[in-house]
Amino acid sequence: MMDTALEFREVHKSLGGKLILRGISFSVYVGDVFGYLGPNGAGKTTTIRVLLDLLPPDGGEVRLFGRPSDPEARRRIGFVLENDGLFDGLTAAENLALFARLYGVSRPKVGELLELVGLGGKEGDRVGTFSKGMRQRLALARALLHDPELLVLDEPTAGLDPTGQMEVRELIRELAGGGKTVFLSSHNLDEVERLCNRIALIHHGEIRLQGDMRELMRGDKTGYVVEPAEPLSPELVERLHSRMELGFVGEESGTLLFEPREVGLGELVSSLEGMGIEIEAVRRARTSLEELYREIMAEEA
Amino acid sequence: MSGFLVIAVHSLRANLRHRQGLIGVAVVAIGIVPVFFAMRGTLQELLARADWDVVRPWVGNALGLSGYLVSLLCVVFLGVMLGVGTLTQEKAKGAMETLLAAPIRETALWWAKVVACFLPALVVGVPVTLGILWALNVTAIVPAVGEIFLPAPILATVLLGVPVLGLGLAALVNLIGLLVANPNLASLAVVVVVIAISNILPRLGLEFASWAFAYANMAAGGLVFAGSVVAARFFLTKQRIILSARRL
Repeated sequence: MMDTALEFREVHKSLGGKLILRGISFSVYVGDVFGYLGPNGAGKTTTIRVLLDLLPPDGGEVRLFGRPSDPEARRRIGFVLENDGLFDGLTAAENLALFARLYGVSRPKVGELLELVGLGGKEGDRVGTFSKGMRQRLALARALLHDPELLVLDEPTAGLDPTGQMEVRELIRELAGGGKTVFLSSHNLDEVERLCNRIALIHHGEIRLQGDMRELMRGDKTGYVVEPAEPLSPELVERLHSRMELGFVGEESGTLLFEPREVGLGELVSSLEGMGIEIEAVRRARTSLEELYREIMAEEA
Repeated sequence: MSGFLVIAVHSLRANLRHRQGLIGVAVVAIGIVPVFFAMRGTLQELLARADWDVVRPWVGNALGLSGYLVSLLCVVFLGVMLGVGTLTQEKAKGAMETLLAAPIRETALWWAKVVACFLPALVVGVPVTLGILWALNVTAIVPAVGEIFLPAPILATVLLGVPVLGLGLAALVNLIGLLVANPNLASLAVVVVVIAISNILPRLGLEFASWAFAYANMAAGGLVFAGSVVAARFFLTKQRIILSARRL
């Protein structure tokens, strides 16, 4: 059985008379990059606040590393909250040193961490002069100061330009590759799809979906998506429809979807080439995270 | 180093660097000048009116009032100005939430904030007040009487009474500041308490240069402090701090 880094068991939380978390349960296993998805106001930030003991749960239990959450276990968490929480008046090194002292890290590897997040040489610069992307990366460095086993990231790429987003994502990927368990809260589906191996989707304070990303995205779709090198003429599309054995479903954004029942992939490809269709790529059809998300939101509606 | 010490040292530095703290220093410095000249004029007028034995209680009262006003400005007002600006900024920018998510208790954070705004005000305020009392003596009293006149109750008020009051108010302001959306509003608590004390005590017939006045200030400060400690036990939670910051 896999070790859990984090577990929510039937956690309830009300704020101002409003039920924000309605008995949510999910598990994050050691080594996971766990995507925590949901629209704005779904309860993502409240979940993180409960996780970090900023808000006590009204009911249920939060378990960390296989035992009930306590200060000792929470020391094994590094976090980046929605607001980076940096001190503008301090330099990058001073910001890190402050948190190193709070975590009792006697010799913080400030230079090494800044280098890791791409802020090498910026030790002495005041954080007030940093761009949003630099701040986010510094917040990540701060989260790594005490070498935590679990990283909790709340919208780490929100408000960043595309380059900044790519840099932060790359960093998260590196950290996950280095053995950190990552809890990534986001409403960016593309980001979650690229980074995470497991997900949970929260909506109106309830977990609507959770599990292995590949399993979930496989869904009930079968067949293949074919990317032609050039757009198909209407006549060619007509001919594809007439070849029943190929199971041509239709065109979508320039790609062709086939659900063949009588032929295999090899035969499908040779048949298409035989019809003069130059193929750029073929892949297995799967449900995208966006489709899954839309489906669940539609059920809600 | 404990979480309390880490935050106290950090907040102390932040307070001293913050613009609002610098404005507080400027306001206090500008405020002291008219107090000094007004009280020097009063003392000179009193001393010119009658013999020393006759005016001695009035001079004591005027000197006591001077010391009280200056120390209120330096220890209480400056302390509040130093602390509140940083608190507001930290809550608005999410730094407070990040601090609370680190291994530190909310009470330790509160105490650290209290120390960080009270300590510099005390270190600056007491010497400045003593300096003003000395300057009033040198420029007004010594030329007329021939000796330094500084009754012990005035020293007790300046060295103990107002500092205890300042500590109590620092505790109250930081507590309110942590729990309300805009910590600047907490300054109003200081204004209310100071106006109440400075109106009630003289109405009770307490002279500024009396032991009773010094004790009354210590008692008021002690009461505010104890009240803040009790209130903190009941109301100061991470949830309340976080949710108040959310409304900023």
